[in-house]
Amino acid sequence: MGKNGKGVESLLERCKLIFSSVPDLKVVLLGLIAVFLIGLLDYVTGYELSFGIFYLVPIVLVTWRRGFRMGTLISLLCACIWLLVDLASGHQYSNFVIPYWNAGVRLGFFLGFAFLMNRVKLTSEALLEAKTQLEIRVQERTTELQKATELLSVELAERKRAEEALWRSEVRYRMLFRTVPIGLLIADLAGNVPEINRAMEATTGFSQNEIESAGGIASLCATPDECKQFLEFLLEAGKVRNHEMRLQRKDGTIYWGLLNGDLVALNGQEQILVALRDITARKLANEETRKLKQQIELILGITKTGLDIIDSQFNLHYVDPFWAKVYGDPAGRKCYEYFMGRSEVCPGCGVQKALETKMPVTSEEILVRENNRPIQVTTIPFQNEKGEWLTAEVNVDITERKRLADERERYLKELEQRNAEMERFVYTISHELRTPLVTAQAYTDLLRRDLERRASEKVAADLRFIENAVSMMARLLEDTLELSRTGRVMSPPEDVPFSALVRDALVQLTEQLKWGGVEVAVAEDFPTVHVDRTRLVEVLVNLIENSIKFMGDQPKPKIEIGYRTADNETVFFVKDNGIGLDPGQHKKVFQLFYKVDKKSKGSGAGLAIVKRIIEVHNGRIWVESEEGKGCTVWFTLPVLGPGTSEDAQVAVRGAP
Amino acid sequence: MKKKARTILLIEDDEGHATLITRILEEVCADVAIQVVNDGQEALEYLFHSGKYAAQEMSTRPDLVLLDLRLPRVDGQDVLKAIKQSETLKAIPVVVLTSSESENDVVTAYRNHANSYLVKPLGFGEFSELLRGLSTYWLVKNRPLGNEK
Repeated sequence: MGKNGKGVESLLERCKLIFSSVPDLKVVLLGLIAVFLIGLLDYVTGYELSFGIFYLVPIVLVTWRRGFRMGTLISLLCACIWLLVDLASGHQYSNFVIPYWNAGVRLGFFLGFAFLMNRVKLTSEALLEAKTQLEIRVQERTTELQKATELLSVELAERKRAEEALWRSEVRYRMLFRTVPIGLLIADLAGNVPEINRAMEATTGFSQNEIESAGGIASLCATPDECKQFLEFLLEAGKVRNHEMRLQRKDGTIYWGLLNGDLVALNGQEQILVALRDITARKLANEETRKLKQQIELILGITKTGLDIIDSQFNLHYVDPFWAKVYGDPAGRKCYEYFMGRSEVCPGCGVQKALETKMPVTSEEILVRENNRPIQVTTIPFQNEKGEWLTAEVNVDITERKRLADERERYLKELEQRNAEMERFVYTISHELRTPLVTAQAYTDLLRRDLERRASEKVAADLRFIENAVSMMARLLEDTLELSRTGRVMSPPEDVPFSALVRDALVQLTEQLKWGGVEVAVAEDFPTVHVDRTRLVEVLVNLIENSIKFMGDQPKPKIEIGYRTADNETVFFVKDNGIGLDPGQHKKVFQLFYKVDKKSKGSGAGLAIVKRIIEVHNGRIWVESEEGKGCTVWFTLPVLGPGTSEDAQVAVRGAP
Repeated sequence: MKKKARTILLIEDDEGHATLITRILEEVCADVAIQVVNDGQEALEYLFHSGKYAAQEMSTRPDLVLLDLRLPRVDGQDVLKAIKQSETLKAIPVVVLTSSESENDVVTAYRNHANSYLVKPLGFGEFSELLRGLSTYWLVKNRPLGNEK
């Protein structure tokens, strides 16, 4: 019953639903037209076609809606009802009812159709609506799904690529490790070496197996200690950078390696990665360069040669280390300031000239800041790689050359002087010798003539002239020899108190002094001199003799011998109160064979010899005198220090 | 033909030479007065009337000077210079008569306006020859400046 009840309820609901809505006019019209058409069909055909239709319609409807069994059941039910009614009543009510039924069914059909149509319309709209909604939802869902799919595919591609890259980098790493031209090895903390690359093999000569069997990483080092140190340091610091170390190849040769080590985590384990480069060649080259540099610096230092590079603005680009030590850092400094301490370009600057002419220029400079050291500067212009013109200067020390040149100059001058002296000497001698020769020759001729003419009174005079001439020639020759010996033949100089020389001279002249009645005064405390004793005595004898000779008619002849010290120079003197000498002859008296008095016996070489002796002792000699007021001869000698004059005193006492 | 005696000033320091030259000159030329001085200083005194020749009459103006070069006190070249620089004396011919053959002496002498330069020859004959020619030339043939009567 319940089930049926429910069916009824739903039917009612449906009915409510159907009738709740107002039928559409068009639908009503359509129903009426359909009914009219069916009626028209009945009328035209003359058959009750509509009866069948209308009777059949509910059956068909039920059958359609409820199935064939229900249709049949309903039809049979209806037939049974009518049969029962007819049987029960005994009347043929069914014949009566059926036309009304028919009409009712027609109306019902009409109404039902109309409402059905309305319902259909509403339902179809609702369906349409629902479909649209559904479509939208489907669309949305589809889009979502598409998006999700896309994301998924991208992710997939990404993952694939990553996997590929991983694979590739692994390959690349392997390749890199093997082929990189730096020796690489991986070792564990115990020093075992599980992996090395080709460069490492080439450098060390070991294969990985050989290293393992030779005792691991220690087998690569020159000494185990060095290896230990390296590993300790690496473990402590976590890395080692550019460590230079001596290593040993398989064949035992030692070489220099540059090591870089890192503590790395490989396969979850702490391991050591060591990179090795053979730097033996570089090391040797460095050593070679260092040696070369040292040698160059040594040569520059020893030869006192300076090198520098200067640009057209006088900026110093380079100064060799030797000079840099003396003058300091040349950076940013001008050459004239750096070397010469000037504020502007040096006059006659070689750099300017060399850059103008593009030709090397040689000049001489004095390094005022190096104790006036003379140098020869050769300034050579050149172009650098940028095409700029610079000058390189080679500066050679010429102290020694200069000194030698000066010395040479001095010697030359002295030589010239000597030559001139010699020329004068030779000329003087030839002239002086010619004079007695003329005399001797002429008087010999005269003598012959006088003898022929028997002019015997003249013979004696002729002979006297000849004799005089000959003895004069002999004296001249003797003095010439004497002079030439002076300076050539010398006893080695000795330290003699000057007083001893004076004493010796006075002893030699004792007789003459006594004869002339000459008083001699000798100074005290004479210094000691460094001289050829014999020669110096000769000098004093000569000077004293001259003084005696030119006393004239002085009633109180006196000779004074002494010295004075002025301007760090000791000057000795022999002074007399004789006839003196006019200033015109002060220099002439020292000329060879110059005679103040023609009638005197000497050759006139005495003072020339004296002068020569003094000069050989690096001294000077000169005369101070005025005619009639005596004469003083001054001379200098190499002096050691004051001595005693005791000996001289003795000599003075010896004189009258 | 009588001529006034000529004066020759001989400046010569060597006694032998002075005697020789005087003797020869006296032999080779007549009417010649020879004055001998022994050094340069004396020569200047003679020529410029000073010193022991201060009195005018003590020294006759020479017609010819024979000059040796190497002289005591004042050198021969200086004497020559003094003569040639003197307005009154420079006309006097000065003949240098010396033993020096030095080129330097010759040049200096001529620079100092010597009239002639002669080197003393070796040998009496040669000496006589030279002095004869010399005196003939300068005292007889040569016509001096001025005409003193």
